[in-house]
Formats: sequence, structure tokens, C-alpha cells
Amino acid sequence: MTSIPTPHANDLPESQHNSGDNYLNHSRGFASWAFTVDHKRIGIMYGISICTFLLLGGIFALILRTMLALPIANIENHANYDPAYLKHWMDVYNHMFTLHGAVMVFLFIIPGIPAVLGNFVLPLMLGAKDVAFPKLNLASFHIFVIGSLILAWVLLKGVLVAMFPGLAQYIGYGGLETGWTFYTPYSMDSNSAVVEATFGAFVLGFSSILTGVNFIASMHMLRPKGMSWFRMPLFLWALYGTAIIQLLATPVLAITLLLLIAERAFRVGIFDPNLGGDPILYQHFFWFYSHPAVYIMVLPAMGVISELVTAHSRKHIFGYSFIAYSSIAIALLGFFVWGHHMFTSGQSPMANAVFSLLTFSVSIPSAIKVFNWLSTMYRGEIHLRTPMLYVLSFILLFAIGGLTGLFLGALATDIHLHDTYFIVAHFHYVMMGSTLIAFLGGMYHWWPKMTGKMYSEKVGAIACAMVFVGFNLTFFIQFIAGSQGMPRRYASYIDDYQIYHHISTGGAFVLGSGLFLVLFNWIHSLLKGAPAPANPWGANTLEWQCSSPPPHDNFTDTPAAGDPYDMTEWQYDESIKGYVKAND
Amino acid sequence: MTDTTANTNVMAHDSDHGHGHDPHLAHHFETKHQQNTSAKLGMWAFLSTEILMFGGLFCGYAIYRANHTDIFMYAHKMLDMKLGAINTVILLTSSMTMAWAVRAAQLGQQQLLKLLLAITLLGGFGFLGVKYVEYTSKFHSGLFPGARNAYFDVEQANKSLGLTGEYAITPTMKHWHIKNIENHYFGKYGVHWEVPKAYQIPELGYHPPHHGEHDNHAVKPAEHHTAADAGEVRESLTVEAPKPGELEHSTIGVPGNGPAGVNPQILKAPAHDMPEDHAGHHLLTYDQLPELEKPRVHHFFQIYYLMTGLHVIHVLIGMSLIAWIFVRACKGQFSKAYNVPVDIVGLYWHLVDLIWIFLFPLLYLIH
Repeated sequence: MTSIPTPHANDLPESQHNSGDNYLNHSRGFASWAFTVDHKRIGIMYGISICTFLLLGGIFALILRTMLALPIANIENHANYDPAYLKHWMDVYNHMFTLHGAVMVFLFIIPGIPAVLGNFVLPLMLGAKDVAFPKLNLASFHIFVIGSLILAWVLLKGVLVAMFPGLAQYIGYGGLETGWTFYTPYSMDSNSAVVEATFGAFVLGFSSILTGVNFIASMHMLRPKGMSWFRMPLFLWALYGTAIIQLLATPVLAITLLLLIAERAFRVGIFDPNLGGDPILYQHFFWFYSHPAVYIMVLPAMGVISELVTAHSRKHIFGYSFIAYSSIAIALLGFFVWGHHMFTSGQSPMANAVFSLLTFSVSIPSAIKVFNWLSTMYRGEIHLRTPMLYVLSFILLFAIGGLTGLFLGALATDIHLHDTYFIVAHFHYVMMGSTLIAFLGGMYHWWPKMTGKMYSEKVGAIACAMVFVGFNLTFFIQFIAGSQGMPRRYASYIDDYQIYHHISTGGAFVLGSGLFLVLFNWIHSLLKGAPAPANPWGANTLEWQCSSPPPHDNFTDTPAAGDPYDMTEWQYDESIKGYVKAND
Repeated sequence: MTDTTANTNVMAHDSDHGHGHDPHLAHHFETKHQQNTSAKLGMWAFLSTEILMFGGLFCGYAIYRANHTDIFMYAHKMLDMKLGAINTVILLTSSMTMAWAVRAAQLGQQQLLKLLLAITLLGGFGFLGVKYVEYTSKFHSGLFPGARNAYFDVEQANKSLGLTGEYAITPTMKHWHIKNIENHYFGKYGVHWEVPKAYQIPELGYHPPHHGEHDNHAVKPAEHHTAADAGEVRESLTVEAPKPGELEHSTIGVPGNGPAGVNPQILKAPAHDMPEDHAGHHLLTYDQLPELEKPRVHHFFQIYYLMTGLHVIHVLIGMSLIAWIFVRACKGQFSKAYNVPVDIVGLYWHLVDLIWIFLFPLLYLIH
């Protein structure tokens, strides 16, 4: 590595390959971050914005859970309240669950892992200096910022109009209460900021597409000598599958949202039954994107888990090619199952049966991955570090989320469970129990590489336990509530369901506290953490072969790529608290 | 995305890894070939998203056409096939000059490159010009996108446009507006409705056959008969406009009861005996459409405007890219060794062309 000593390099140990110069202190000032083309800085900026949105979406979640635990949510008590107040209260609830969904889906889960971990790790794993199109990468970050500012405006407008109702005649009503799916015909009649919100999601889609283009080109063109497709780390295979979906599904969302905007602005009537339009067509269009988008959310999470499970079990991944192919299989199958969101919308029985069958087929590649992870751990040298704890949580939660999906994919049971809390619990197990957990696990795993600091394992483990317990407390009970018939999206319930809602709300606060503890753990590590060695886990993927944090150019010479999961050469060195190559 | 030679101020320190001498080779690529192939791969990947984006619209088109065939058969005849064909020729020619420009760039023929890019850009302007003529002629007929479309449901149009009281559109107005439109667009097939003077729209080229006989009323001819001018129209209607309820009893212009002036062939003929159009297909009139389909006629125009409108946006983006390439070519930035941006913009322009190749037959040439 080029060793240019800089005055900011005092906090790094001399024993490592570290030169003083790294990507964090390479240049200074606002512009050197906001207009950087360095994939690592872009990844960090995505990370900060996305964690902010996680916090925002989480606050909405806590508000709506709290609202459901208050006495006013119980129908038995409704007689005690002024009907106008009650209506207003329910209106607020509708805004809360919609905003929670929209913020979490469009601003956290979809960009989450690819934009943060993908951007940071992908070029490093390829031994490359950057992604294929660094300027495009920056552009997609800027588009992301614009899109999120538009959604932020929707929120701000909602707050402003709530505080000063007179403003509504000048700027229109704000907020969003259509549900994150913007189903017609209600999204035609709603007086909330549907046009702005859909336009924001449209802009965010562009960011997602450009990231996908960048990743595909990088993986095709920037692999180093010796890294054939089947020597590529599995996280990259997962990102490749994700990028395919981003490329092929997101434009369909874009056109759907454009049609919805045209529908609201000009009344073109394609979806509005009042104008002879077809509202089911909207559902088809929407889910043609949004079902594959489920795999945009979960595939990178699976990729993260594949990396983490082998590194922390210190054992070669089991069934490499099966995991690699199953990522592509999930990406492709994911395009043909959108109809399972519409079993009760009046689809033909034939379409229902075909979609149900295809839905079940997605479980095959998913199960392949789970069994391969379990086999990787078998007889491995498992280190129960924080990332590994998240891996174990992931496997359990994903198994529950996946298995409950079978009830929903089956036509007969879906009629009963459709639009109940059962489905709420199911997709939170898959979206949050899998994607968020993998995101946290991945952040812990690559934290030393990103920041050059170690974190506190003890606090990390406690936080992981709180997240795990809180999560199950919140959502497992919802399976029961849903199977008992509690409908989703309702602001109130009969007395029988009160106990479920109280338990769920209690769990949400445990979960929230756990996530705050994670945040505390990260901030504490940034301020007080011990310097990280280049390879704290002994993993053999290329990102561990540059210093922590990586220098500005990642690698002076492209490292030689071998089997990414052959960790036998890496020996633990107590003096640096990290692994070094035996022949060094 | 086309310019991967990322040497911005932040990366400026990096030009000394041994291969930093070529100003067009970005620091993270090993060879020019690798960089050019990456750029082309990225563009192809992006074009796949464009195809999928239009794919959503084509899918909507297919569903509406399959479910509401009559509407498409009826309404597409109002599009001007000649202008569509001219635009097809223009775009195909510009695609050819673009492909030639790419070749010229690869061979380092600077003057030819500039000339061909200029011609391509001119083709883009030509396309837009023809499109402008087409759109404005549709607007003059009241075939607007959105709620102002002449075929839009009257009640919904009034609600959407906020028209109330004397400014509201009435079913009578809609009825005669459609007759005007049919006279204008289907006149060449022999369709001719006798429209009361107050409802005639001169802009549509309507010339009553017995000119002068009905001129005894001192009525100003109606101006643009669209919702935009509803107030003005209303003013001129006060003299002899039938009330909405009277329409059912009116005998003027209704096939089967029609007085003089209505083409007798149309009055008596069942649908399969209707006059044939240029392609030998039976002509439908609005009155012959199934009742349930009548409120949906506007969908054809909505789909037409959505598809061609999104395409026009792409033409504009393509033209901006070509203009950018043209400026760079004038500065002499391209050579045998460095011409990949020309190539990439060319790919985009071919996509714009390709989409039109599908739009033209699907909208103008259906039968």
C-alpha cells in the first residue's frame, strides 16, 4: 500500500498493513463526501440515511402499536368517545400504518442491504478499485436523496396541515393513508398526498435500477484473474440475482406509478372503475413489481448470511453451487408468483391454482439455502460472535417466515388468512426477521472493515437477544391473532383480541429498545472502540486482504483470488487480535 | 453512465498507478477494452429496463384491446395514418444516420460524424414537429388526454374539472360533439351527420350540405366545443339547444329516424353492411358501439397519449444525448481510440426507434 503519512493517522496500529491514509481521512470537507465517487463513502452515506429512515419507520411502528394498545382501540370502549374524535383518531392510525409501511419498504428494506453493504463490499470482494461506473453510483445516491426528500415532504406536509389546518387549501393535504400499496380505487379518492408519494417512490426506483446496472456490469467486467463465476463470493451471487430483479421489475413499478399519477392528475381512468377502468389491473401491475421486490429485499439478506455463516463457523461453505444457483432460481421464480397476492380478488380459479403451484416452487431454492447453511455449521468451529448470533436468529426466523408462507400459498387456507394479522406476522418474519436481522448481522460483520474499530461483543450480544426476543414477542402472537380472525389494518378490535394486541405492543417496545442498544453499541464503537485488525474473523474473501479501514484505492495491486471459502491459511495472531496468512 | 472516465477532483490523486497516462481510461479499469465493454454492457442492461417500462404500457394496451376490441376498432380510425407513416420513415432514417455516425466515429471521420449527428438530431426535431401537428389537430377536435376528452363520461368530467351550473357539460353537448368528430374523421368513409347549427364546430371542417337553409336563426356558431370553453358554448346554446331530457325525443341525426342530410346508407345498414374503410374493414360509429363500451371510448385516446407521450419524452432524452455528443464531436473529443459515448447514445436512439416501430402499427394500423 502506498504509505503517505498524514496527521490524522495516529489512531491506527503500526503492526498492520495500514498506511496512515485510508478512505475515511483521505480528504476532508462536505464536498469530499457529498460528491465523492468512492464506493466506500457512498456506501457509508447510504448507511447513515437508511438507518435514519429505519428510525423514522420504527417511530411510526411504535406509534401505531401504542395506538392499538390504548383503550380507545377496543370497540367496547367506543361509546365513551366523541364520534368525531374517534374518526379523527382512526384517520391518524391510517396515516401511521401507511407511513410505516411506505418508509420501511421504499426507504429502508429495498435499498438497505444492496446500497449499504453491497456498495461497500462488492468492489472489495472483487479486488477492484471501484464499481464499474463510479459517477453513476454517485448519481444513484443523489437520486435516492431526492426521492427520499420528496417522501419527507409528504410527511412534513402532513404534520404542517395537522398543525395549521388552514394550510391545506394552499398546499393540499399531506401524509398518506392508502396503505403502502396505493390500491385503486381508494388511492383515486384519498385526499392525502398520493401523487407526491408515488412520485417519490418512482424516483427511488431509478436509484435502485442504476445501482442494479452498476452491480451487474461490475460483476461481469471487474472480476480479477482467478475469480471465475463459481469462485465469486456468494454475497455477490445474491447481489447479482437482486440486480436482475431491480433491472426487470422496477421499471414496471415505475410505469404503474406513472399511470397512477396520470390517473389522479388527468383522470385517464385506466384503473378507476368509475371511468370504466380496471382496478384489478392495478393490482396485477403493482404486484408484478412488488412481489419480485420481496426478493430484492430478501436475496441480499440470504447472501449476507451465506458469508457470515461460513466465516464464523470457520468452515468451508457447504454446497456452494447450490446456494449460487438457488439465488438465481429465486430471482427468476419470483417473477411468476405475483398472483398469490390476489387469490381473493376474483382471479380465475385456474390462475389461482397456477400461481399457488409456482408459489410453492419458490420454497425449494429457499429451503436449499437453509439446509446448506445448517450443513455449513455442522462440525464447524462456531464462534458465537454477534454476527453469528444474528445468523442463528435469521435461520430460525426465516424458517418460521417461510413455513407460514406455505399456509398463505395454499388456496384454501389463504381464503381464511387473507388480510388478517397472520399475513402481517408472516411478512414481518420474512422482511424484518430476515432482512433487518441480516442487515444488522452484516453491519456487525463488516463494521471493523468499514470503520476500523471493534465493537463490544457483550453489548452486541445483549442487543441481539433483545431484538430476537422483542421481535418474536411482537409478531409470533400476531400469527395467533390472525388465525383467530383479527383483520389487518383495522384501527379497532373486539374485546377478544385485546390480549394479543397488548402482548404485541409490549414486544414492540422490547424490540425498539434492542435496536437503540445496537445504535448505542455502534456509536460507542466509533468513539471508544479498539482499532480493528485487517482480518478479525479469518475469512478468505478479498475484502479482508486490505487494511481496516481500506485505503482510498482499496488495493494497490489486484489480489490473487482463490477459493473464497478456504480459510485454512489464516491463523489467529493474538498480538493483533486478528488473523494473518500463515505464509506471510 | 456513458462517461466512465471518472477523474473528478476527488480521484485526481489517482492518476499514478502506472496506467494513468490515457486520459480516457478510468483508474479502476485495466484496459480500454474492459472499460468500453463495461459501458456497453451497462447500457444494454439499462435498455432492458426501458423495454420493461414500456412493457407495462404494452401490457395495458393488450388487455384493453382484448377486452374492448370495438373501441379500438372505432377510435383508431381517428389517428392520422399518413402522419404516423411519415414519422416512422423519419425515425428509421435517423436511426440509420445514427448507426452510420457510430461507424464514422470508429473510423475517425470527424466531419462525417458531425454531419451525421446533425442529421440525426434534425430527424428528432422532424419527429417532434409531426407529433406536434398530430396532437394539436386532436386537441382541436376535443380529443384531449384526461377528463377533457370528448368521449369522457359527462358526469365524471364535470366532477373532475369542477364544472357546475351553466358551465357544466351536458349529454346533449357530448352527443353533438361526437357527431362533429365523426363528420370530421369519418367523412371520407361517407359518414355525414346533420348537426344543428349551434353545435357545429367549424374547426372540424364541418360544412352542412344545405348551407344557408337553416341560417334563419341569429346564432353565433359554437366555438371550440370543448369543456375548456364550456361557458362560451353555453352562451351560444341558449337559443336553440335541446335540454338534456329532450335528446331521446330528438329526431335530428339519430340513425333510423334521421331527416335529410344523414347518409341513408348509414341509417339503414346493419353493422356488417357498413361502408368499408381504406383497408376493407367495416366502419363502426359511436351509436353502434355496445352501450357498455360507450363510456370507455376515451380509453383508446388515454392509452394513445400515454404511450406516445412517454415515447416523446424518450425522444427528447435521446435528442439531448445526441446534442451532447454533437458538441463533444465538434470539440474533437472522439477518435479511433475513444468513441464509446457515440456508440452508447446510438444504442439509446435505436431503442427509441424500436419502440416507435411497435407503437405505429399497434395504434395506427390495427384492424
